[in-house]
Amino acid sequence: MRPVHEMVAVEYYLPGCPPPADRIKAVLTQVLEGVAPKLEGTQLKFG
Amino acid sequence: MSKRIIIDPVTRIEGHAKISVFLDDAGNVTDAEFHVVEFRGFEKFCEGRSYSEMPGITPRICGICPVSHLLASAKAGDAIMAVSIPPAADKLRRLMNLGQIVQSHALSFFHLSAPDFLLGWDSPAAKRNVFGLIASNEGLARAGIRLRQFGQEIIEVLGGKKIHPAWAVPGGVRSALTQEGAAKIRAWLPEAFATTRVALDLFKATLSTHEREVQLYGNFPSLYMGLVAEDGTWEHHGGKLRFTDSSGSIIADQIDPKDYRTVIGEAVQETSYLKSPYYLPLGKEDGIYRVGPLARLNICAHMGVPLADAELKNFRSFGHGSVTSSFLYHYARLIEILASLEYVERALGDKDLFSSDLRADAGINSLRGVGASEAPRGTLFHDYTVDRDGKLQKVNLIVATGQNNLAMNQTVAQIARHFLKGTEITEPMLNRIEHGIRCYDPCLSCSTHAAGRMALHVRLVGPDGAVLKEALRD
Repeated sequence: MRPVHEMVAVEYYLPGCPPPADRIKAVLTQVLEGVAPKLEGTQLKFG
Repeated sequence: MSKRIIIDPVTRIEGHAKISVFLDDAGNVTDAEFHVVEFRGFEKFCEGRSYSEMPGITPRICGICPVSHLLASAKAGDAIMAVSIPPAADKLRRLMNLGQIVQSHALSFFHLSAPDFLLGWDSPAAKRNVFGLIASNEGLARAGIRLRQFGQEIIEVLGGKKIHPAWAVPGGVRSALTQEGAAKIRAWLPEAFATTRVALDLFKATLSTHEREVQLYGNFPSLYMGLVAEDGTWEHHGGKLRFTDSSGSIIADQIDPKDYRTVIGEAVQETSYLKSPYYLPLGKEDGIYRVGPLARLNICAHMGVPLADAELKNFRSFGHGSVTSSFLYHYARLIEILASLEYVERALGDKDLFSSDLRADAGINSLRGVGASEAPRGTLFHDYTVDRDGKLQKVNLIVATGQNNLAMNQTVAQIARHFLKGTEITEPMLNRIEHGIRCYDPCLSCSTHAAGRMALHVRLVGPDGAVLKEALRD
């Protein structure tokens, strides 16, 4: 059994199982704006 | 030259599967099989974990129905502690389960299934999905998405998050309903009822132009199983097991779920990761049974709430004794959404939901615990055997979708028999076969835990083994 990032190139990690909807939105919004996504504070919490 | 037609992967279901249809020399369908192609292995890797962790681990089996596993797992833990949980905790667990039924059935109807019968079997595959539905009927699509969201909100209001809430535990639940949460749910209910009414009217109109589908999509005799209350009222979480047959006769009743092994046998298929449960007293050939919305409506005496009971009466007019057409799973799903909304409305008036008496406290008092609950797709069993420290020695999961395995095979064969002509594989025909599977709303991530080997692919294969044609989906 191998973790995903050993098989596929992964640029960003979103913590959470699952990552909360607003966290996904924050990252996708930054990507769409052409900015390198950055998560801070509570957005870095896994649970 | 016989052939095997294969559909791989099957789309718009939860999980990964392929379908094989076997033809003889004359091009007639001899058999069909629905194979599940993912292996999860929870029954094995949970060995050694503590029973108290299981309500946290097992929801990760599935992103659509994690609440089913959460609740069944907590119940198995209750049994290991040998406790009766406080009444408020049971009511709260039931409320979350109602929310789950609404969101899961709404997903199945609007996102996964309706594109087929609303946009048509012949409509282009690229558009025959929820996005096509948004394009052709935005109001309906939005309403359906909102209905799903309503169910998810109930889960989040109670458990803190929509998916994998850390909330039900052996002995009870961790938090009660708040006044703000109750107000939020109450305010949203009218819209939820309205959307469900629209969907019901839409589907009943669909039935009048889809008589062929009613006749041929998984319409065959079988047994039906699920939980019912002591008086036979529809159940979604408590109660005991009941089996009925196609005539509507009860053949086994009020069986404590912990004794499921006396009535359910499991066969392992060579070519699938899915185990095939059957009604033990009748053997594998005659013991095929269905679970889920169609079965729950067939086995119950009534829903117990007025609007749903009115629809149940109409539903029953489609069968003699039991409704045997799997196409009518869609109707049953909508009736269960309606019932769930009525029960949610009723529950909100109960002050117990705000109680702080939520946990029973005990150690390990039984080395085996079985927890059963009705997942949206059918009866779910978590069977845990632990040592004196509560560490799992053995885990057996009987999942809803697995119990429909034999029925799904039969459904694929039936549809293929009627719609497949010679070696001509058309896209609409393949979609009909897939839709036969979608009627069951299978949750395949949930259902594959037996060890085994299997290849994935859909091909037309003759009896001599020569591949005649490939029908691949991207």
